Amino acid sequence: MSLLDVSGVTKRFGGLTALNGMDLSVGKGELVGIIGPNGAGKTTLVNVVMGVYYPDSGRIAFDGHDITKMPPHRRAKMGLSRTYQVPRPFNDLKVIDNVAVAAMYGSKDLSVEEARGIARDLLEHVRLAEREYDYPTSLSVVDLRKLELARALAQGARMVFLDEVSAGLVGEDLKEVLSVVKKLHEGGLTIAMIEHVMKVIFNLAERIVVVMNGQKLADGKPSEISSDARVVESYLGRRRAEK
Amino acid sequence: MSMNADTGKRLKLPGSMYIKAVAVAVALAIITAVSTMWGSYPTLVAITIMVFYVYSLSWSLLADTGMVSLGQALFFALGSYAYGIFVISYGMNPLVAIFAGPVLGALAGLVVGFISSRLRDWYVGIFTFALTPAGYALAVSSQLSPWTAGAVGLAVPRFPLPSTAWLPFSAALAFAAYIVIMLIQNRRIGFALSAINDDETAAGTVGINTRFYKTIVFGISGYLAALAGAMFVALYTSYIAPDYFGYPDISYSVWPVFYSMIGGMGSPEGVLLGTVLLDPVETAIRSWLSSISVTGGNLALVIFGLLLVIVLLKAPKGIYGYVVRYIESRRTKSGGRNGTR
Amino acid sequence: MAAFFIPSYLLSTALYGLLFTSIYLLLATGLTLIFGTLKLVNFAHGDLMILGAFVAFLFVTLEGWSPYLAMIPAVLVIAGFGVLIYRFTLKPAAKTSPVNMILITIGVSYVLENGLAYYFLPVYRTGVEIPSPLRGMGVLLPSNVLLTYDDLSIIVISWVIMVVLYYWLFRTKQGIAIRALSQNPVGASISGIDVSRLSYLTFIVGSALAAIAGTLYGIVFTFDPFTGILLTLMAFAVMILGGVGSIPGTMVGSAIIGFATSFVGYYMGQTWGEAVAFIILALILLVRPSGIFGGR
Repeated sequence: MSLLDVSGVTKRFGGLTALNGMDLSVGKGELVGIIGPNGAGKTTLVNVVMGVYYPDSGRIAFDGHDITKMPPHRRAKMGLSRTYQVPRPFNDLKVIDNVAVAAMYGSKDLSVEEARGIARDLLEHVRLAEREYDYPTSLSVVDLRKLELARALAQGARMVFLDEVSAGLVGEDLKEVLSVVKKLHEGGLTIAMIEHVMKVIFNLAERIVVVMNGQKLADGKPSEISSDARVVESYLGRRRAEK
Repeated sequence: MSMNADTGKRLKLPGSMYIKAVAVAVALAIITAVSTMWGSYPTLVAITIMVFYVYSLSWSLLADTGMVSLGQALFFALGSYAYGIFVISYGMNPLVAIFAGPVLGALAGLVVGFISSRLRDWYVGIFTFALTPAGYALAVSSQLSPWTAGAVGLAVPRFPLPSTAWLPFSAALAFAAYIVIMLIQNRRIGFALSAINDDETAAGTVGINTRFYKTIVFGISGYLAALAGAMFVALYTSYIAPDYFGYPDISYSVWPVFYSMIGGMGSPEGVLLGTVLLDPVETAIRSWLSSISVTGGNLALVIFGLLLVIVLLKAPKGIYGYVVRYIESRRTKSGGRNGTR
Repeated sequence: MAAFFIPSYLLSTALYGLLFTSIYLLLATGLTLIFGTLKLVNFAHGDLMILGAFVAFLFVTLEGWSPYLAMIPAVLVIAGFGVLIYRFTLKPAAKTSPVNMILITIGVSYVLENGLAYYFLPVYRTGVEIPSPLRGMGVLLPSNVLLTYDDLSIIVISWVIMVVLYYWLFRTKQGIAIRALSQNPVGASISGIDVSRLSYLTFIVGSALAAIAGTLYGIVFTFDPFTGILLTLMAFAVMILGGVGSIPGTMVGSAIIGFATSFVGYYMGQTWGEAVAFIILALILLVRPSGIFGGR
């Protein structure tokens, strides 16, 4: 049984239909890539799964429970989390408290001391420990991305949506963030990655879902996707040779 | 995205919270002692400082959770009337009524908070504002006049403490309110409120029940504002008027905003600074305005308005914000570490 | 005629309702224009209106002008004030949050109201009204209700202005540019629209509407330096009720609040009449914060 099951979800904003009968399922422990052109509905999909918006129709189930109309904080307690395309840390809290607050209110209700202990460990895990007492405003993009990963973990998340975690990063920075992602996946975390950089996603993902016009266009292994004529024609173009 | 980019940031002067609490206690004690020795008018002014400190704390608590109330006078006046009605119509002991009356403020706060928690941004301000005329109309309505004495207002009996004890009593209440805010900020709930203020959507994503916390905070704020209203009547005016609802004159709703913002929001010490600096002036203006030389008071309010505009434009974190920034820049210059808070 | 069966109080309350509607319409449209286009919240809008009324008042009482003529200097003065307020407080404030804008403009409101009070209260102790040569004359309606020429002029002028405004917004180049600006500021500037000039123009038009509304208000109702803030709130109530940025919404909103104020004021006293606008506002925020015609 899949951990996350999105079926037939439609979401409209006024005259714009962002999601049009979207289907997606993610199995426990999988690392799924979600690709598609801008405006295809990828971020809306994440927002609907997380509860920022409620769908106009369709159903979302997590671990067998229907979460379609559940408020966001309860979804978090069930184990869903996300990172943002543009990092959204809590700027008034120190780095360690950014992570700690997620531990305090996530799937377990922890006290301040317990939460800070967990936060410290997690910051070690993502190699951000030396910035514990700084404020997010002084962090680089790489560190902010790692902070969001640590925060998602601190929630006790079982699944995390990474929204373009590699955006704007190159070279060592990119390697750093991706190695953390890999590490988390190896630790058992279920991951759905929205990506634009094909090289990244084709290397990491076990499975790729192509989203176009608010719908699922294709779903399969990276090799299948890159040779799928529809995908090539409408999205990948001649870059299908790149893997 | 937090609407309080300028107004909500926590200003923590580096240093333990115990030191700050002692500092505030000492400051309140000094105000009490000096005013008492100075005379009866300064004592009265000092009492208003205590009252408006509690009132301003109630407002800044909300603002630090991302909700800007422009109708705080609703709770203030509720506290005043509840106190008066409990004492006069139900014969309650004023010492009990001053704590029991504000419970109505807390209840109203919970209701208003429940609704406001759904509203975004400045709509909370408009909504809270829109409630104050209704409060006023209720107070002067013929239906409630038997209790509220309508537009004429209620006169309450003397508070049953020796008059020399009034100021120390107010100061004690002010300190208690400060402790409440301190506790909220430093305990687990404070982290949630800070996150909500910063980025409400992200706060929800990490598991914080934003609507619940916003409602609770409104309840606490309602209690504190109503307590201030009860104190105002019991220890200062001995008289309740429907314009305490901040209608048609919005001053009662706006003063806690002024004090908090000019003094420095995000920190209860900053709010104290703002109250101490501005309240004596405001009290003088108010008595000016209600006497013959009306226009002197008006001129002073013009200056006040200008001051508010200038402070908001140039120093959105208030005077305390400047102080904190200055101290922090001195610290980093001398290589001080970012503390262990 | 069926009119003979309408009781006089019903007719006169309806008349007042129409009056309120027309005036609130002008006021709220100015506010909607400024808010919808420039995304500026101005709590001193009503004070601009009262200031306009005072200017007109001075010209009528000191220079003997007709109140309708006095609208011209009122508009000029208020437009000037509006530009100053925009340039020195609103434009810098817009970079911060909407809440900051509300607080800053509350400060401006304090300055305007108390500044006015400082000059006027020593001379005019209570509220004033703009005297009109047409006072007391009008058309006698069934049930002995007098529809004064003043009332008639006010209603007519308001609606004429709305028509002119509509024409300007929908048929002229400038008006279309303003609507473009309100829908898509970035797109508008890219297409070569001089956003800065247009912003000033919008603010001037909005303030002018306030000044006219003020003069008309002053002819029928008494006002004092502190009436401004209440009128601002009425305008906000109308704007939010109708849906921010929607002119048809403003029309419907002003009608609802105008008639509600009039009828409730008659049956339950003036205080409740004023309060009802805000009760309606609170209810709308509860149920449908985007307003009747609001899309968002």
